Amino acid sequence: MMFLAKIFIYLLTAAALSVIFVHSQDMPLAAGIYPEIVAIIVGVLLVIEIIRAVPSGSGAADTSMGADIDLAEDEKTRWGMRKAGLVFGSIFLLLLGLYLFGFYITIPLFIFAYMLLEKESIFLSGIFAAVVGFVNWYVFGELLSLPFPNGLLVG
Amino acid sequence: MIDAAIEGLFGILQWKAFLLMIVGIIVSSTLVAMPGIGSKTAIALMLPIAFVLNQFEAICLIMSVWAVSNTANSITSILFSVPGGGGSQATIMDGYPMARKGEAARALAAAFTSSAIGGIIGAIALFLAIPVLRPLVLILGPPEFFMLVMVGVAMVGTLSGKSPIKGIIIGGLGILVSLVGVHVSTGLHRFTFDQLYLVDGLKLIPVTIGLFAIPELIYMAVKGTGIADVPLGDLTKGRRQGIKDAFSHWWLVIRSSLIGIWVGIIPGLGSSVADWFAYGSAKQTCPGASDTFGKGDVRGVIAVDAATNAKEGGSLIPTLAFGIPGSSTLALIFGGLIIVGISPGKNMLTTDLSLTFSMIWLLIIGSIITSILCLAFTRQLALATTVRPTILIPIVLGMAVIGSFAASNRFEDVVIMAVFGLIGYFMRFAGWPRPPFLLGLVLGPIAERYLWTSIQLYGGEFLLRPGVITIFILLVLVIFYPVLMRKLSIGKGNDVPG
Repeated sequence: MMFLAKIFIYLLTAAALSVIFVHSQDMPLAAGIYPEIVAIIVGVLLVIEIIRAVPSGSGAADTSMGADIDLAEDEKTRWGMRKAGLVFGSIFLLLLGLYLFGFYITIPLFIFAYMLLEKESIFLSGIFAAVVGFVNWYVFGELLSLPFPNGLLVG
Repeated sequence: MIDAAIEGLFGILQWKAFLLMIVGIIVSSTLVAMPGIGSKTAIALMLPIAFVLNQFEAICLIMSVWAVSNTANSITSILFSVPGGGGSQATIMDGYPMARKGEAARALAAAFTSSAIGGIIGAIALFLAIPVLRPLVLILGPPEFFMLVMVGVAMVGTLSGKSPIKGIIIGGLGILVSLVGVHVSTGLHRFTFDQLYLVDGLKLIPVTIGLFAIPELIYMAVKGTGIADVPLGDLTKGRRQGIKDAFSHWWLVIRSSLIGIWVGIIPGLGSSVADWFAYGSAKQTCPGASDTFGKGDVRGVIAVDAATNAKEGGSLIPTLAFGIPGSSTLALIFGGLIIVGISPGKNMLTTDLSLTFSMIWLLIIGSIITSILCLAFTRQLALATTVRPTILIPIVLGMAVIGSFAASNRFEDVVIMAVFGLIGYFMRFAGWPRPPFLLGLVLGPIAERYLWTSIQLYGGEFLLRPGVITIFILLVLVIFYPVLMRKLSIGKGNDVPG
C-alpha cells in the first residue's frame, strides 16, 4: 500500500506539473513565466526524488514528516486501511446526502447513523445529532446567514 | 505608538471580541489537548465564523486558538505520558514521573503558571521588537520583500523533517495550486479549464480541512479509543505548591522563555524544538539537575512550558513584520487574516499597528485566562480526552463540511475538501509532508506580486540591490541553521520515555 501511495503521489505531481507547463506556454509572458519556472524547478526535484527513491523500493518509506503527525503502526495494517476506507466511504455518503437532501437534514442524520453503526446508544446518538443539527441551523444558518442549499430532492 | 496600544487593548476588550477570545481558548484547550486533533484543524474550523466578524473580533477568535494551544497540551503529557502536541513532548520527561509520585497537581500547576509567564514574556518581546523593526520595514521595497517571501518559501524545507526535497516539491505544488484563478496583473484566467468555480481560485479552508483534518480523523478511527482510561486521582492537592514553584524559579522561567522566543523567531523550528532546547538548557544549568531531571523534577516541567508558550510571541515577529509565517499553522492564520482584510507585513507596523498591539494584548490576557481555566478545570479537560472517536469523528466531519462550505458558500468547496482529504491521506501514507503545501498556497501569490512589482520598477537589476543580497545570505542561513538546531535538539532529547 505504501508503494501504491508513493506511485499515486508521483503520478499526481507529474500530471499536475505537465498540465501547468503545457498551459503556461499559451499564456502571455507576464502570466505564464512564474508558474512555468516553478513547474520546471519542481519537475527537476521530482526526478531527483524518484531517482533517490528507486533503490529503497516499496518497503523503505521515510515516514518522518517533521511537523506532521507520524503514521501509526495500526494504520499500515489491512484493518487500518479498511477503517480508512470506511471513513472515506462515509464522507462519500455524506456528500451524496448533502447533494440530495441538503445540509439541515443530512448532517444530523449522518451523525446519528454513524454513531449508531459504531454501536453508540440510540439516546446518545440522538442527543449529539440534535445538538449539532441545532448549532448548524441556529449559528450557521440564522446568525451567520450561510445560504445552505436545500438539496436536489428537497427543493 | 501609545495610542495604537490603547486602541488595540480596547479592541479586544469589547464584549463580543472578549467573548470570542474565551470561546477560542475553550475550543483550543479542549480540542487541541486531544491527540490527533491539531491546532490547524481547530483554526480551520473556526475560520468560517471569522469571516463575518470585524478585524479585532476575528483576531480574538483565530489567534486565541493558536496562542494558547501549548498550555492545555501538558495535561495529557503529565497525566498519561501522551503528548497532546509537538510542544509537550519534553513535559513528559519530568511531568509524568511527578504524576506517578502523586504530584500530578503540583506538576500541572507549575506547567500552567510557567506557561502563562512564558506567554507574557513572549508578548513583551514582540512589543519590544516593534520600535526596532518599524524603521527597518519602512526602508524595504518590493525587491527586498520578494526575497523575504523567498525566505518564507525556503521554510518548506525545514518543515519537512528529514525530507527537504519532498518538502520543496510539495511547497512548489502549493504555489502552483495558489495560481489557479484570475491573474491580477493581466486579468487572465489561469488553469481554470473554463470552470466558473475555479475563477476565484481554490480556497484555503477546504484545502486545509481536507489535507489535515480528514487524515487526522482516519488516525482517530484506527486508534479506536480515547486515551485516558486510567484513574485521574486527586488533582487539587499540591496545586498551590506548583504555582509557588513557578515563581520561585523565576530566573529559569525567564531563561527558558528567552530560548522559546529565539526558537520562535527562526521560522520553521516550532514547539517541538523549543521544548527540547529549553529542557536541555535547564538540565545543563540547574544545580543538581543531572541527578534529578527525568525522575520528577518540577524544574524540568517549568522550563519546557515557559519556552513553548513564549515561542508564540517570538514567532509572530517575522510573521507580522515581514510576512513570513514560520510554520504551517501560522501560514493558515496568515491566510485567515488576509481573508478578513488584514495584510501581514509592512502595514502591521505602520497603518495597522493597533491590530499588532491587539495581538500582543491577546497573548498576555489569553495566557493568563488559559492558565486560570486550566487550573480550575483540570479534571474536566482531562476527561475531555476520554471522548470516544466514534462520537468525535461524525461531529468533526459535520463541522468540517460546514466549514468548507462557508469558505465561499459553494458546494464545490465540500467536494474539494473530500478530494484533498484523499490526497492528504495518500501523502501521509507515502511519507510526504503536508505542511509545506499550506505555506506554498499562502505565499505563492504574494511572491508573484512582489516579483512583478520589482521587475517593473528595477528590471532584472533588482537582484543586485544590497538589501536583496543581504536577505539572500539570510536565506542561505535559514535553510541550514534549523537543520543544525534540530540535530542538536534531537541529541539532547533522545531519551524520551516510551
